[in-house]
Amino acid sequence: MGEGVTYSLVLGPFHPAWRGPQRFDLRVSGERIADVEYHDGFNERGCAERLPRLDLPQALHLVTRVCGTCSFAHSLAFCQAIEQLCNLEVSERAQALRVVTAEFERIASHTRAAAALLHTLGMDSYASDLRHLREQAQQALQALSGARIIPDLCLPGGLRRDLTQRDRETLLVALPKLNRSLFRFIDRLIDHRPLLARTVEVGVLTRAAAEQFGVHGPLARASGIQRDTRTDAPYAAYARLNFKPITQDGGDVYARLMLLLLEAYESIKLIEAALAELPAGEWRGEMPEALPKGQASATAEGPHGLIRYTLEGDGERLKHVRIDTPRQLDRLLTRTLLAQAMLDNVVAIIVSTDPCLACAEH
Amino acid sequence: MIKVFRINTGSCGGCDVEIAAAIESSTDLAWAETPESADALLLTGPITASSQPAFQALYDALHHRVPLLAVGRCAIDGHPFGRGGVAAQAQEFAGRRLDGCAPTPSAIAEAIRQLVVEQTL
Repeated sequence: MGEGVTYSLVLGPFHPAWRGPQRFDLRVSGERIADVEYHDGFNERGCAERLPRLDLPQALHLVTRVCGTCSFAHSLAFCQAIEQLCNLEVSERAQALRVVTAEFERIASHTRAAAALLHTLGMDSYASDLRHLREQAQQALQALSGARIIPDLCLPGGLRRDLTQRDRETLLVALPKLNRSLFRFIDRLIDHRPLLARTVEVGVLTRAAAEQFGVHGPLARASGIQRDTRTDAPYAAYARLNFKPITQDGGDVYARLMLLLLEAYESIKLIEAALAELPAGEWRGEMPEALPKGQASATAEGPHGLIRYTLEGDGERLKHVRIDTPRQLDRLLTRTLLAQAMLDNVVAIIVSTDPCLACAEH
Repeated sequence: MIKVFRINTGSCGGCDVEIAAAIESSTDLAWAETPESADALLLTGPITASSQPAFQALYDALHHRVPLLAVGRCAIDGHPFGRGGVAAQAQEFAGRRLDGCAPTPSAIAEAIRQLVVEQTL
């Protein structure tokens, strides 16, 4: 095949394959990408600037809505920062239920991302199987918080509601089934030849590049970097739940897909462990009347990586808030991933990074 | 088959994934590949300043034949991100509004059906 014609192709900002708005201006030469210009900023809502203007309950309401798919992780990091600032203790039961909720949110996010990627690759029946699993995770979130998505559950010092004994028993019965379904699913996919042909050594982010870009979360772990806030700086009940982060070495689309699925599998095991020995007792949280003077910072591992809230209190209200979210696609990272890629693979490569624009551009 | 095209103008992503869940679970709903081929445009997000021109261009080109459904509270009035959504725009936007943060998949599916039925009446 010769060089072929050279032309421009614009994807986005509104595109069915990705959730948030982002635009890729591609320069295509023959069948390969000669150059790409990435445009973002469509999602910027100024949440961190708005937070100090709100009272604390309203602030928590907004924090929970910075990102719909990483909602609980945001509210958890925010509440942990307030707990630090106000010296609040969190009961063991609340800590365990926080892990359960965070992990169900991760399962929903990871299976959703993996299903989107499989759909992009034309493997719709596989995508549909995964959506059933995701739906179960969302139903579990509903049992825990009352909402399928965006759980208004976390409060400083504890939670807004408790898990009933009946719902706990239902979950304990459902979890082994979920576990088996996902195991069988991964087993069917792991040496699926057409999938391997389309994804291995496609859209590679080498470990060196991932280190240099400072990526977090699944994107880093799929490139062999063992970086996970749940073990690096354990919070809630993670320290006593014997958890090992998963990594994959390939750094390609296949590694990112497998990482999402294996992490979801690990999350189920974490939830089973947390629910099997769920401590009894107090779980209630309460929003403090006022914030003391001072600064506090807390982190949580969201579905897309490290989320950090740094708060400053002025003796009554929030004076300053800083939100740090995991690095996502940007100009350089997009160039690295898409340079010389086959045009047919572009959307799959983008989708495999599971870009979370709402987190990135709060 | 009703085909929908989603326009995310800076949402948290919650409504977007519940729209996806609505389409997966409804046999009469499907994604449109392009906005031109859609039977309904679904707006999510508070219409951020940087997404406004792209949204406006799509709306101006298509609103006379493809109806618009604003999904979720922030697409309606910007809550909780401040003033925004269709309420904060200079012009009046035709179409329906579906409140909720986020609305459930079944409410979304029903609103899409009603929108398209009204359009054909």
